[in-house]
Amino acid sequence: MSETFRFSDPGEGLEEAEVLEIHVSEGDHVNDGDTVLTVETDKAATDIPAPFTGTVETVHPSTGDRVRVDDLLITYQPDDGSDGGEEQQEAEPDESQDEASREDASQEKGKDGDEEQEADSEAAENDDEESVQKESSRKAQGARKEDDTRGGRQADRRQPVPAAPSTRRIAREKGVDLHDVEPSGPQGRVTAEDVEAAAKGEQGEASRETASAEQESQQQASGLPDFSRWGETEREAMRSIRRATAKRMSQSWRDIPHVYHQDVADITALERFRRDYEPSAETNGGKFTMTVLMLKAMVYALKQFPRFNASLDNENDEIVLKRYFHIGVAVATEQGLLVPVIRDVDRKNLIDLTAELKETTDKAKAGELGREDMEGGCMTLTNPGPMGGTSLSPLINPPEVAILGMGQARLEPVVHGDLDDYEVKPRLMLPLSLGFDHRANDGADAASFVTTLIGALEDPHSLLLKI
Amino acid sequence: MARKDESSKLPDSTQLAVIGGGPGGYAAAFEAVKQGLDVTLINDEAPVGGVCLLRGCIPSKTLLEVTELIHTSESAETMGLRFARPEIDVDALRQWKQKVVKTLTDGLEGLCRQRGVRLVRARARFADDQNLTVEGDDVSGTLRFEQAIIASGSRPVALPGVDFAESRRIMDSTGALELEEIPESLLVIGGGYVGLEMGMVYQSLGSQVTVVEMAERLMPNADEDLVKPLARTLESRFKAVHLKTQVSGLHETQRQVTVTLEDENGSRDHRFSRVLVAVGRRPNSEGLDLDKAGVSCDDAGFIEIDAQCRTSVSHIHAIGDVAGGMLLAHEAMHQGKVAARTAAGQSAAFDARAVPAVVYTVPQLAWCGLTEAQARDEDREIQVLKFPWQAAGRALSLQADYGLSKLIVEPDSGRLLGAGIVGPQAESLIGEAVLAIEMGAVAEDLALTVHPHPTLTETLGEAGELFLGGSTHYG
Repeated sequence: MSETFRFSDPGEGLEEAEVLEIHVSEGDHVNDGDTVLTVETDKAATDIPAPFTGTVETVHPSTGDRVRVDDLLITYQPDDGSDGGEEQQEAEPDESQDEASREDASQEKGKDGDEEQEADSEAAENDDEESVQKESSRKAQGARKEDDTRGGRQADRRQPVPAAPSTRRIAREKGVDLHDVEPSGPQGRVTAEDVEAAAKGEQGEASRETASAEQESQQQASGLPDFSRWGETEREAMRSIRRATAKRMSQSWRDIPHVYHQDVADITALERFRRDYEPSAETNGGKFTMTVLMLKAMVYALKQFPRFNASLDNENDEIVLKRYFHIGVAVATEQGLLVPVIRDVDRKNLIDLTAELKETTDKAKAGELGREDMEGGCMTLTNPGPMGGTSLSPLINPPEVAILGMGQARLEPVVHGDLDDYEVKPRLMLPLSLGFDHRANDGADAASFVTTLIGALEDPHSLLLKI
Repeated sequence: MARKDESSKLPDSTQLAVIGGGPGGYAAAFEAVKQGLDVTLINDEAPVGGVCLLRGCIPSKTLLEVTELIHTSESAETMGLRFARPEIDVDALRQWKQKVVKTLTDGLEGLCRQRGVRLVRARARFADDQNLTVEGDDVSGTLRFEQAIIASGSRPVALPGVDFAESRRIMDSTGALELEEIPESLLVIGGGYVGLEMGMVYQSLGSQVTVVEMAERLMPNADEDLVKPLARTLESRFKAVHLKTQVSGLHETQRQVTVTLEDENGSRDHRFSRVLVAVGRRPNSEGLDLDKAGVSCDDAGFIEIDAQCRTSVSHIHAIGDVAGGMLLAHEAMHQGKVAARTAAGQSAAFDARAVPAVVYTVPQLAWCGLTEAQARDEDREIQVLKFPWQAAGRALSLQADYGLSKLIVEPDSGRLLGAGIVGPQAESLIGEAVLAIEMGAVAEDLALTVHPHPTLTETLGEAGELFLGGSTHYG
């Protein structure tokens, strides 16, 4: 007697995930807790352990598929040959899952509950048929009355849902049961839009919190012109990381009043220090980069200006100040942008940070980051500088309130002295851009923050004292 | 697409065979062609159109129009307009009726040609679940089909010992529509809509009409309050209306029919020039050799179907009267489209929530959706909103103050579940209620919809207002 293992919520409010890897195949024996699948949920790879011990009969999704909560993952034969009846009922509808016919849907419903409910949903189905054949027999009417005495919800399911004939047609074509649709019309009338939304929801809808954002982007999508009028086009699916980035960044852009403060740091001395100590810093591996040094400098500035190490609690009109210093580092990977978090930067020395940054970056590029690796950042550092750029306006990674962007460090002629007495020297200049949430800080705070940061960067000896 | 020249030839095979050329059959054929199927429509009589066009809806409504004219001209006296009694030229009337029918059947045939439906004049029987045996004057042979739609309709039920084909004076509705003569006296057996409509026609043309009905009231499946104004008219115009009465004997002679009527007071013989038997219809399911195809019927002979109009054999569909239901042409047409779309692989279902019924008597009756009687049977809580036409200006100008519009709604939401109308133009007025029910409208929607004044349509709007606590002109 086969049993089934369905996808359940791997984290807070997540409803779908992309299958990255399948670790088992048909016929494999699996122990409770063994990893059977790796899925990607909201940018993170999560291993899914088997909640059973037994032999895998069928693995339903394929690599790259999106699975939703309650989707069938694995059909298996449990080791302890359990008793018959119940399981058999389960197995049957599972096999015809893909057909997604209405009959199956009602069988599914029966399956979730007890046998009585199943009988009820069958009765409901019969009633539907009878409403077609208006001259239903007296016998059937008797059955109807019996139904009425049962639970209210079942009785509701048997009543037709108010919806226009054209809406009912759309629901039929999309395989949507009108009883499952959230009505937006007056007195519970289901509109065509409700059905469309429900159908979309079944394919993969994000959490409720971002529903409005999604609606907006849907509206945009539906308003797209026909691009083929102007030339050849190609469509590419937005895979999970791309979609998560799109969602998060729209939210950031929409919700956060961004302001930027830019300046240039003279890192000539710091660069000399970096070169001089490169081999020692790399004792434990990694690469002793300007990024590593910048992490330390940021912590120094954050300690001076705690409102940049904060989050806004709008509901309570409070600012959450953090007493820890975890810095997110933006990493460009083939799959897209990831922001793993380096914990307790204040308590780690440059050698450790050098090693850890490399490890973390490698993990991100290999797609091995877990959800927890990307949570809990205080502020984010992004360094597209090596690729070029003098000025950038990075978007804040919510719920943080600031982000620091590094441009490309260039050797530039810098004038020292005053109007009458000056000298021009070649100096290595690093453009910096601080993006901050104006709700948490003001322009003066940002100027002070950046000036403090630059002060630390320009004088590596004092930086040493400070970190 | 059109196959004008080979239209009557029998091919070896067809994608979709439609058996029966009534409203259900031709609607199915047209829809199937639209869906890209190769369609063969097999109809066993020369003109297409079925009962509806040839001996049902169309000819009866043509005659009832005359009845309404006569009634109106009579009641015009109240308005200060006196007409002489009309001279009735039965031959001319019959010809007029035939002309209307012919215009429609010719038009239909033209549509079949134009749309590319292959029309075969023959009878069809199932040889098995993939072949039909086709026999006609010009064509015969075996037609292989991928899918079939049975739309063979229904026919009037006879009484024991009555053979309509043999009898001269005992008629079914078909015979009555022939209008062979205006009999001096006519007995209508059956107080349903067919009997009352035809009884009214003959009464208006000069016959003395008697109705006999087994049940305790006329039109037993319509709500009593709707039937009441009609019953009152009939009582004054008909010679007699016998309720709770059975016909226990029928004896036909050269010049008359002696009928034994039996009620709780005993039995008595009555003599009538002619008798119309209108006690119901039965499905044309036998003679199709359905068993050879494996198609099953219920005890009454109606083919059993699902919401997609599929029979027990999934590639064979059945629609319209032969599949039961309300036995109404418009239901058959909609089912025909559902069956055709299903046959073409589309997702379709007959999920109508309100199939309207119209009785073209004077006054007219129309209803749709849930009736009060059904709600009672189902133990369902409803609220009934009645707007009497005395409060409608337009009704008074039409001398129709006896009319009534009523809505049957869900008590909490006011959601429309059913509607009933009695009075002139009920046939057209009901359309709004049908749409409202299909759209899931509530009483307030009708109330807030601006109806033209003064019209009878206002009565529906004002009935809706009653849900909100009193309408402008009533309550």
